[in-house]
Amino acid sequence: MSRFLFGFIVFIGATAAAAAAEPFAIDLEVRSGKASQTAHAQSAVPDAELPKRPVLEIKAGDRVTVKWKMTTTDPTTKIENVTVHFFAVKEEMAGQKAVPKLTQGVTAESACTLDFGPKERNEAELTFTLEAPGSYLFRVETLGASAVAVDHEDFAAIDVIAH
Amino acid sequence: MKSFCWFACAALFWLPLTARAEHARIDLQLIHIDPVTGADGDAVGATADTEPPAGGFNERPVAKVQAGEPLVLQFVLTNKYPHGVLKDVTVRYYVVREDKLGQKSLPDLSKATVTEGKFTQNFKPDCRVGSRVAFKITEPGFYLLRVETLNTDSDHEHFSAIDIQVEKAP
Repeated sequence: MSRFLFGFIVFIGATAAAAAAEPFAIDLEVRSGKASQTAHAQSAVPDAELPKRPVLEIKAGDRVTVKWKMTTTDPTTKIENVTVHFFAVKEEMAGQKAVPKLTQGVTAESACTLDFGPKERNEAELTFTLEAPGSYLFRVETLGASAVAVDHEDFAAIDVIAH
Repeated sequence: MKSFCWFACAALFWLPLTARAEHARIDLQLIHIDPVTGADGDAVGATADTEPPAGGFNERPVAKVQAGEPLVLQFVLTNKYPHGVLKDVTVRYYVVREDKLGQKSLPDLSKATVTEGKFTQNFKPDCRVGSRVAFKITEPGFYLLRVETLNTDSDHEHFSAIDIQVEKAP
């Protein structure tokens, strides 16, 4: 077997395993003018090794639009009483591991409660302005899913740096 | 007989209004933010109304603010429709310029809003959608802050709204 084919099969296997491991599919996009970044579902298991977050650079005072779509990956499971939580909060530096406390520096926050059946989704599009320069964490996450049907929560996140 | 008739007519008139009010509970607030500490200050609140008629039944509260001052809009909408799941409901909010306080017609939303957002999902009984967004209005004038339901497959929709009178900063 060629090395390419071997690598291809390993890649497909790894991709499928990664997809199956996440109970939710998340497409998160942040854009400002013509610039945009996207991110997808990751596991919120403590101490999980996470890839670097995408970074979007904008000017302070620019409008940003954040969009997400969240669905379940398992067509047979219903996950009840999930909260989809989004926030855009100032952080000390782009890429920091710790999620900032939401007691200050929050530009936007939202929460929606719903049951996630096989064909159910949560979609949103919010437009607002980042007035102050600095680094912001944009993150959409599930809350409460691990209490009922799955073993961990999922999230997707993007850093936005306002110059 | 006459009093019974009056009561029956009154009940027929009021019951539909009461039923309309039950489908969504909305707590909308416009909050002044302390520019130094970032703490919440005074707030103006509004509750749920219905359309039609255009602009609803209730007079909108008016919040007076200064151009450029930090503000927060905050709302929690609770679905009180008890008869099953409503498919693909949208909850939309926005702050947009209007011609005058209390105007019944909606401003043109294709023009730039100060801030806006929408959420779409199935609505099960007692589900909630809420948001809190910081913003500033830099141009004096009249603005409408409104949160509303769309696509509830009903003969009416629910909304809550506050007029914002923006005065030039001293």
